[in-house]
Amino acid sequence: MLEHPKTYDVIVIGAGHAGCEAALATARTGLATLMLTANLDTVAQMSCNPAIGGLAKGQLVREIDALGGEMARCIDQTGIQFRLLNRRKGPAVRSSRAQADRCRYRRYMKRVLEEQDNLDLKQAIAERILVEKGRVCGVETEHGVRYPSRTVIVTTGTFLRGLMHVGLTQQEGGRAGDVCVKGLSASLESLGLKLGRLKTGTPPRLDGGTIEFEGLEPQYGDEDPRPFSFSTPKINQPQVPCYLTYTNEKTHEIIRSGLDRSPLYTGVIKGIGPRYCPSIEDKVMRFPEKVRHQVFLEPEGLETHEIYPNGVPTSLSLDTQIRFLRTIPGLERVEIVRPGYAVEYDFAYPTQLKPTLEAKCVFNLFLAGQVNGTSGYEEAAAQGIVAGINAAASLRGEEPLVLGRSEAYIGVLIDDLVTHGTNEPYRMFTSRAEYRLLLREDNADLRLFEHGYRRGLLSRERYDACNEKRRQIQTILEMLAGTRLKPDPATQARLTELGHAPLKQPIDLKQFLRRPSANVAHLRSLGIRMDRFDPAVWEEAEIQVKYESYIEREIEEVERVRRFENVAFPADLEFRELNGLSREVQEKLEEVRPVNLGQASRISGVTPAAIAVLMIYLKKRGSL
Amino acid sequence: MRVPAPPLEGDTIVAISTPYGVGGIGIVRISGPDAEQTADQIFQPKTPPERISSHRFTYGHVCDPRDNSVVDEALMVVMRAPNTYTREDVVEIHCHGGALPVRRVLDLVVAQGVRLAEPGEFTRRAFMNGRIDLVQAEAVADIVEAKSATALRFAQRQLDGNLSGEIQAVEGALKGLVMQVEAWLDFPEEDLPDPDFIRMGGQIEETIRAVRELAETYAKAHVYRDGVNLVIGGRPNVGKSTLLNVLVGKERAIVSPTPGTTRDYLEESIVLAGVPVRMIDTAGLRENAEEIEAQGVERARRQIDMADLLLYVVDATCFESEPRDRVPDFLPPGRTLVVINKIDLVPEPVLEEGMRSLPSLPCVAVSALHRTGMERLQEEILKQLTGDKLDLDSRAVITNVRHRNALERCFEALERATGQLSARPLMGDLLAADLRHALRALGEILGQTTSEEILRGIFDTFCIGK
Repeated sequence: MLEHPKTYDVIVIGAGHAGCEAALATARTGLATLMLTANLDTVAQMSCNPAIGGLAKGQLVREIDALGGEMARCIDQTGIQFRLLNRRKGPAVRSSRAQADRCRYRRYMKRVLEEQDNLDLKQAIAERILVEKGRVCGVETEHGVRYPSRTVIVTTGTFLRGLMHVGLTQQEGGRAGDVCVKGLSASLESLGLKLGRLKTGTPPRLDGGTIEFEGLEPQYGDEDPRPFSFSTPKINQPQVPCYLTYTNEKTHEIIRSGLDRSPLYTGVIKGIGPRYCPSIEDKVMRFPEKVRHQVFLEPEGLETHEIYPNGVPTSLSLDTQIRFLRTIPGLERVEIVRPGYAVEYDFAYPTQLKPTLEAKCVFNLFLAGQVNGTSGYEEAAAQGIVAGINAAASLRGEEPLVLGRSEAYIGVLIDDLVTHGTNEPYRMFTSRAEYRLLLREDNADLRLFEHGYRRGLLSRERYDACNEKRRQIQTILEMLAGTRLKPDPATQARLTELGHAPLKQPIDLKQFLRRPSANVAHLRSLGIRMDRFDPAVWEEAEIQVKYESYIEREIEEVERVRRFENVAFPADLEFRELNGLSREVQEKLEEVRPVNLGQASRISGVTPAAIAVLMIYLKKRGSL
Repeated sequence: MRVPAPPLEGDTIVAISTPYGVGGIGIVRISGPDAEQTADQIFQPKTPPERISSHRFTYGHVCDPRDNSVVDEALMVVMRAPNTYTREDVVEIHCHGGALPVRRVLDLVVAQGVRLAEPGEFTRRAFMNGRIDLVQAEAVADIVEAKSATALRFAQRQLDGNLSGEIQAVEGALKGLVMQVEAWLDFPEEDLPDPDFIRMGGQIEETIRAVRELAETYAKAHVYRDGVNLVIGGRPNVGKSTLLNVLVGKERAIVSPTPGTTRDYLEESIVLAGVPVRMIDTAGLRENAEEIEAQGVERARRQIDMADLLLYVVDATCFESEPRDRVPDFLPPGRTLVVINKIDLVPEPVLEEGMRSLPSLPCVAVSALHRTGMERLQEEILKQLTGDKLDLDSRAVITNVRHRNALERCFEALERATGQLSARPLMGDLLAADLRHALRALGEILGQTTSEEILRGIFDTFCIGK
């Protein structure tokens, strides 16, 4: 047994998207941090599709950025195609998405980690979490080295007892080409954490040199790519297109004929896969009326020929994979360079965590990312930064960071996980947010910069910039309210030119902007000086005016619920001993152990009456 | 399904604290910081306000602040904190016990922005504020528990099984709409067709109609549940009492050819095609009444204000003489049925001519004495009370004011959704907000639809998985 001489404040196990944000969050606030990874060459690896963002995920990335995380800046530097989705469906559902150069992305992130003060990187497989008297005290690796530490953050992704399937052949490992981690599962279980099995899948990777792109529908990036990070002024690198092709009846026939060797359809795979990301065999079987499915051919990077065929994740046997691919236009002579596969892995039921992502059963043990049953790089990174911030808060005796559901998608994500748990890999959707109109990409900085700054992750410069932006928005709003448009001939003529109905009476510019077809760009024609403020500031002001009544309605709703959120339960509360609660409700409450009345009220099966009983109890204890 | 959680204490709540029903006294109880201020807005005391003391009855009138019309005469007790049941400021309004006055007072209080109390909430507040002990409170919690455990079935039990069925149908339609919009918003890169917004507009219109019809049944439903006030009015000696007697089927009112024989008003209850009808014969309405009658006339006017339906009786013989003042202009439109009585005493052409000269109010010609036209009259009364839908008892009706409020919020949100659909550019996030708002309002009746249910619907319906 070898004892490492240095006691770390934080050890992060895993160097994926969650681990990177967690380690940076603690190291940046001056805590001695050690990052352990099974493979230093795959730090921040994108195990599945080479892309960051998408609906709701784009919001998560910008929230991470506003808190002082790295993901947004990383993709801004290494993205090779940027698109703003839902551009025309309203600001609350506008999300950024970018294709990444997989290799550049991980190199950039590794460099950031290496250059970070207070952060040590080591290649080693964590075997056991060391605990003394209910408190974490270190990590032991497979080589028997003990690293003492005061907190541990587990971000092991799909690596715990990872089992990959290609057809009916199996191989241990958390990702193609990488190892499987076995010991840690047992260690977590011995600490009292209950583990379950999930499954996810990925498509084969293709040799771009064997694809006929001619004739396929290209998909280009935006002409004015919008950066993810509020600190990136502009995206400068050139963008590359993706190509769209489709499966057909012939493809589906081959897929159906290969099901006898599908681990999914022969019952070999027991873990539950995500409904929103089914394998191609699932799509073909569940929607037989669909005559074709889209396949996006996405470049894996600028310095490789590899192509990621988005839309055909599969665990069919390799020969079936190649046969069905070759029926697809453009792929007639395609060669597979890496087979598609499904992977089953252990996850920890997230209701075992506090909203801080600390395990309820072990003090200062945090879990973040896919190990908590989520899917997606963005969901992982969001948990990573929160776990990092809360590990730091715990060490410093500060208030933990628990974001509200009305404050951030990160709040929705973690609250859903710790309150409802999950039975499938959990992915964020905008429809999960009840206050979606408040949680926009455009205002992520305004929503969260104070947290980021207070936790020591956001620079003074960015803090000041956010305050200045807020002030400028206020200035614009006041100007709009105070500027009147009069129905004089010149104004009427200009309005007609812009395609607006003429005025019947004088209105202020706020009223004008509330017309559905009006936008801030029209203000210039109406003689308003626009150059004093940044377009982003104008955009923000415009949204605030146009959405005012809706936003107010949502804020009212938030206020109504907030009183519940402010009523905390004593930590030692035994829900089982509360008279007046049904057995079922007692057990639900005991399982989730909600931290406040608001969380309790969101647990399914907890009735208003149960909430009344809880209030009565709190009153009796004198804590209400 | 999740049932909405009760709000935390702190706001002002109201409930009817006596059982519904005709007779006795109905008490509307308000508790919370705005209790007294709310009472000030709707109660006009005879005593000067500064002389109203806590825990003492005050006589006065409940008035609608919008038009100052009198809703009921009532007694009010202001009980200032802390010596009250809830330890908060409490105001009780004791009004006429019929379901109608009590409900009107309740509606008025709610219109002032006071929230309807949850089941058991007064008692919960009493406990929270230290007024009763835990044992008592737990007993209350049991009751509340029992109520919320049946919350989902509650709607079905309201009147008949049709209600929850109809609301579920509306909810199902709304879920479908939310799903379509959410799929369109959350999965822009999937190969999904855009929603057919024109069709969606039609579906929303249909849903609006269904919701509005349901909400409107609230007004009509109380006809069956609580009965109605049918006031018989008219100038002296037009045959009001005879009409009452014929409708009731017995000699009740003092019938005399001397105008003004009915000094006060008389009441009688009958059941008309399943509708409990409280019939009130008023003293004749005329301007130069004898002194002795004056008070009766005043009361009659108030009765007319309270009427669900006013039968305004006109003597057909007046068509032969002076043409003026046959129908006064203060008759409430929409709830007045003109009854031309004594048609046996005038020739048909005169009658026809006379009826044509009346203002455009629904009108029935009868001879109460000879029982001519009485069936038509009964039909017309029912039609006026329950609308054209005489098969009211075969469809769902809303009887709970909380449900009606939820439906109204649903309706308003859907109206906004219609507006969003026609706006260009079409803002999907706002459209979705309105539809989700509408669904959430319905959820207050049936239990909330979770976002998980919507997602499940999307994954079951659409092939997702770029």
